Amino acid sequence: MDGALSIAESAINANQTEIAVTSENVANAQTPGYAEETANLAALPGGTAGIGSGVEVANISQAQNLMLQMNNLQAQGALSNLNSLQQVLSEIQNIFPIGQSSSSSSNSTTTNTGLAGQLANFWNAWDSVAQDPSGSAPRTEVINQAQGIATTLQESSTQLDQLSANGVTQLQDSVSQINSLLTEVGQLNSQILQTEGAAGNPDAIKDQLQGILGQLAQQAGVNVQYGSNNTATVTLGGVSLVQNANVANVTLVDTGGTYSLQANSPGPVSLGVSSGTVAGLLAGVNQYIPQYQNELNGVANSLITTVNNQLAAGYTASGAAGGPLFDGTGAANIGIVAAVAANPSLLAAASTTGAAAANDGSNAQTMAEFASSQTGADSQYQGLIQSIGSITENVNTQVSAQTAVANQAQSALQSATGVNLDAELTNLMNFQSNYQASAKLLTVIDATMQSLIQAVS
Amino acid sequence: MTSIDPTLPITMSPSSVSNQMIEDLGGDQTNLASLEQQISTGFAINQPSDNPEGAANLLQLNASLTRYTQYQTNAADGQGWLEAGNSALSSVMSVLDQVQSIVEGVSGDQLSGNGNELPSLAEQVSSALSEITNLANTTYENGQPIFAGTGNATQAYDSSGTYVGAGSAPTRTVAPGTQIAVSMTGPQIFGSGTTGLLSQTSGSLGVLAQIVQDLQTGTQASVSNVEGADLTNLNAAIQQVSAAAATLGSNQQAIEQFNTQASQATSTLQQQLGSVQDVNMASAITNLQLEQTSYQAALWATSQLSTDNLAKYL
Repeated sequence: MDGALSIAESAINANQTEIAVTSENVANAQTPGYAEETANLAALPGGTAGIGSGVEVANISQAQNLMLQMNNLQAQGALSNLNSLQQVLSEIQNIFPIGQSSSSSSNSTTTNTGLAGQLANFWNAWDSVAQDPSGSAPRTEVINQAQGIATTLQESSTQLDQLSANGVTQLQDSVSQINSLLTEVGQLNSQILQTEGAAGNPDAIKDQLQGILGQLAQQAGVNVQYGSNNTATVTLGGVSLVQNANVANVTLVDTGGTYSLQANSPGPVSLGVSSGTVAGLLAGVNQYIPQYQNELNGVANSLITTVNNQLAAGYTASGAAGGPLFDGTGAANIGIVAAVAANPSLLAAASTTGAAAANDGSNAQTMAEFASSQTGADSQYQGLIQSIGSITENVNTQVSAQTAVANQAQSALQSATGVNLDAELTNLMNFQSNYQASAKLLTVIDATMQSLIQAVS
Repeated sequence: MTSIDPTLPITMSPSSVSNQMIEDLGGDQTNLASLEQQISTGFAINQPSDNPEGAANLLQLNASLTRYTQYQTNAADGQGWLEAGNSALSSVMSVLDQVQSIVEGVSGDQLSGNGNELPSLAEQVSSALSEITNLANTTYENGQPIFAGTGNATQAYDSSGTYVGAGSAPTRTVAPGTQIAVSMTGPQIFGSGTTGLLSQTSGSLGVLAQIVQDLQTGTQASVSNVEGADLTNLNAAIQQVSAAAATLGSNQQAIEQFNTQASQATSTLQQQLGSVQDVNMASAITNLQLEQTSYQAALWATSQLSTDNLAKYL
């Protein structure tokens, strides 16, 4: 009878553990990084006449699928990379509005916004000068249009600079997050070692580690390997950042405007980053923003050169040689020559010197025809728009594709290691009826004992 | 709407299902927003990445449209100049016709008798001279003298009939690389020096001033000079003016044609622009309705997600 009683007790204990594990699973169904746990039962040997001595919980195991885990980390890192790049590119794109015209109206009232429209209006203004070379209003209009173009170019250039500065700030944030995540990984590693040293179950810590590694992959696309002692080794670009409890810090390095990551392990080692938010930001700050800053400078420089050269070939009404309208060399420093702004009659509208220059607008006329140039500032700007458009479109497409990939990787991992509530609840019903049966067993044994006691009393 | 991937494992955890749903909803919302933007702006290209090549094309077409609009403005301005020139020259011609009939009517008879008409004829020719000088100083918008070339912003001839302009006649750009002269210079129309119409400088009198002087002198010799050399010179000058009027007339025709061409080019450009930038409303609205349906379906499916699990039936 004693044997039966202790067998029933072991059954009740085991059922309680099973129900507790199910509770844990249901409670953590939505916890990031949590892997489904199972209480593994084993029959207890011993007892009289080979019956055995009941049941025990041999161990509590965790669903694991390393391949899906790695796939997921990589997919999330790649998605973060593209997302941050997409953000930078669409912000660059917003700096360059394309403008629209109302084509429905029969008379041609174009409402051009953006640099392209301003350039078109600027060239046209020179034709107005040609129509009335001695009038002051058309010349003032040329100055105003030129001023507008210079302002737009300067603003766009400043916006690109700000975008770059914001990118660097974001990079610094990312780096400090990466460092605190790396520190956490190191701490969790040493907790795992301690728990295992004390023969405990480190599963909860491993779940936490999973969550942290997911964040790290999103930030920097790290590689993760698990040691036989269950600790995670984190490497980035082939450089080890966390091993057991040892953590190498990451710093952002500015080499003449080009940014990169460096690990101090312990000496400085440069890190190749090709995934994660950081990779997208680095591409934006190092490559794309400078590229469009350059292209914009090219537009500005082409405009300055074209206009000033044509003016140098002309003469003022009094026959003096023409001087420049624009000063500066690029988008950041383009401006209007102050003397001309103050006195628009200095604009060299005439193409001849001497008496015939008095009311001559033929140089202005030649200037206006640069509107149709296939190599000038206008077509360079069109090239810039097409280039930023194609790159952004391309990254947009990649983001949609990678989002699907990342979601699929996540789902696959969830399916393999996540908690399925229906399964848990079905298990719970089993455990519950098992528990009821074990309890019934106790009462039956109790009743048997009672009748035995009554019989002998 | 992204369809649920058939390769996914059959056992799905609630969070993987809800992730999928969130992705579907997000995708639907992006499509909806893009279509709504297209419909509300009427533009198929709202940022370069919508259609990079189209965006560059759009800028090019817009720039051409702006340019061709300017060609129309230039042509209209040139037409104004040429009309002013033609009307001035036709007035000059009619004044010259009067002078011609006066000169042809002069005969030695008018020298004799009491009714010496020569001084009054001289008077008439003299006033014709000042009338023509005035016409030669005809101005167009903002007081630009149309027969002064590019050399003078206020007048073509001074009070002594001396040409004070310089350079050649101004032109207007009416098509890419095409300039048309919108006037002629004074000397091209009225000649210069002793064979010109307008000079009143003594020692180098122009045709009209010479006629006036000859009529005023009133000798047999001077009257026969009127009938002879003066008339010959006058006829030559009339021919030059009428040739100039013909040139201006043909320029006017040319510039009108260019104006028409520029206007046609403008509407062609607008059509091209429309085909690049305008949304096909019918298909955009149909697509919007499809997207809305699919979004609503996804929303419905999501609303079912939270309620359906085994706990409900236990």
